[in-house]
Amino acid sequence: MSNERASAKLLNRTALTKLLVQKLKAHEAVIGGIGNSNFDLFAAGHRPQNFYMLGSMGLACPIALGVALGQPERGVIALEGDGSILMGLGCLATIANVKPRNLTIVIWDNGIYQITGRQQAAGGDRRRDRYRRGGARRRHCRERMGTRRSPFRKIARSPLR
Amino acid sequence: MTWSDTFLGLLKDNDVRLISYVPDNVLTPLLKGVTADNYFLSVGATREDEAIGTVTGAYMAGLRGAVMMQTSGFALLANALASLVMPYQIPAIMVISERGTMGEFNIGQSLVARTMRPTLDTFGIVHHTLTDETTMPFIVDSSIKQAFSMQAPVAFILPPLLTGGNPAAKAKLKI
Repeated sequence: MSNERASAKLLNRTALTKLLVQKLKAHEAVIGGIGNSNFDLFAAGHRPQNFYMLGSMGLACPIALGVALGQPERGVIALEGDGSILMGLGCLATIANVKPRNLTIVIWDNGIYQITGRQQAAGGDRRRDRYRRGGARRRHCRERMGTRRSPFRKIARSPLR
Repeated sequence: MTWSDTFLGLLKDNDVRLISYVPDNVLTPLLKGVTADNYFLSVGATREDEAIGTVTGAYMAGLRGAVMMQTSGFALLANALASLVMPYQIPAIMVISERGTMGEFNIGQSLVARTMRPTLDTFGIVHHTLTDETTMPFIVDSSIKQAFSMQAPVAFILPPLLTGGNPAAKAKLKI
């Protein structure tokens, strides 16, 4: 499979978030990043173990690292957007140094700053985003997610640590 | 006991185990002490706001932490304080080595240092400038207890008067 963004399989963030929340066993802490990462997390069904980070864009992963260190036996999941993570890529180096076994980071890479008006993020492809907004593509995306061979299913089946 | 040993002892007395920091010359004895002692969990951060985020998450998970940084690093924190620490009432312990005063050679440091106390005052964050080892234990111990009791952040400023300042600055000022 190519690493090119243009040829990447498209997934739906809202549907994936719902699936992720369904997969949670009970007490996993989920740290939602600013904007749509948070909105989807809340829409997937509020849990008291969710933390909806407001304002401090880029800090969802550092916060999740702190939770992971504080409770090493608990699964911790950070949901962050590509625009947000670009605010402070350094945190990924920090987390790689610490190597917390109980922390999972999900980066929703839609290539845009969706909440501020769909401006292109660095590394993003605006043409691809326009394409995705078409209804036909969305339906295709949903259908793909339903198939056995879909990469989405594969991700969803993989265990959360 | 050096000032740094005394300070670390006070953190221990108050169960402050996580130290997230961005390195600084003046902080070196503190950071060495932290890494040499298994009691502490040290996390080297790439930016000071990242360190604030980690200490915030740790507090929510029941682990007490402090952020160590220098003056210019504190200047990166306005948004993290305004949108995370203050609204969520996080007792973040901030330890700031003070540059820009009492023998500074770098104009940038002297300018950014002027923003530190006004920023802390704007947020209403309690801050103490630790000038000597005699009063330090009472100030630090009681202020950490107050921070966790009030769920409010506190800043300890370490001036050259306590630490001896930046050795590099001293060398430059000899001319």
